[in-house]
Amino acid sequence: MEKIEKKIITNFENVKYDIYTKFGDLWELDGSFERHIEKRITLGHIDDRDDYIVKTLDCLANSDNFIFAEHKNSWDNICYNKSKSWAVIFNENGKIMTSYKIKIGSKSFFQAQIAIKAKIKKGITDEKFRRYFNRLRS
Amino acid sequence: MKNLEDILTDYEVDIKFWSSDFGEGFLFLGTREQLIPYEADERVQELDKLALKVIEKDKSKGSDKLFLNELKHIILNAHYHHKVA
Repeated sequence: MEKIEKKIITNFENVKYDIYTKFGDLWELDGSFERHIEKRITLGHIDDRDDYIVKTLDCLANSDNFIFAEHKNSWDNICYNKSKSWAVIFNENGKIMTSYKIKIGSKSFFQAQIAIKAKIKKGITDEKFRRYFNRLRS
Repeated sequence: MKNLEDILTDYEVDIKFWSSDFGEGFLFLGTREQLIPYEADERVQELDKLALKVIEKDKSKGSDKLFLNELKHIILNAHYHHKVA
């Protein structure tokens, strides 16, 4: 798990001087970021591209807990949650898979991963990790 | 608890924006699971047809593949029961 956090920070380090322009590079697939923006705007969860970036960074800077899901036959994932309001999920390459508003009554990342038999580790988000994103945000 | 209209909107949005390894297979599945009590509704059945087309084209390699397999199972199961009924 620590390896993924290192990869996440390395990926952000690579774009930190131009984060608003290069935020799409942090996503696993080309074009995925734009599609996620469109979906979130359609759902009324964000105002625009910059708002999505701010909400994503805010979630990482203020994350209370993480859920790490280890898989035998697919990518491992880690989900950072902020006060049951927003979540950001990375894959084992430290790339963003999604960043989304948590909706009451919707299936949680934890419930979903248990259902597909992932090995789960839950914990409090590392303070250094949070501080990194707090600095990045400012 | 969300009403049917809200869940249908979520389902429609999930279908419209899906692409392989979108990272939200569990949200897509979760939305459809919320519609299980409403499977007799024609709007659910129409959206299910679109969802099946999306699943057919999907080339996800990560856990999304597993979630979409489960989604397909739920849809086909619902359609089987409605045809039998």
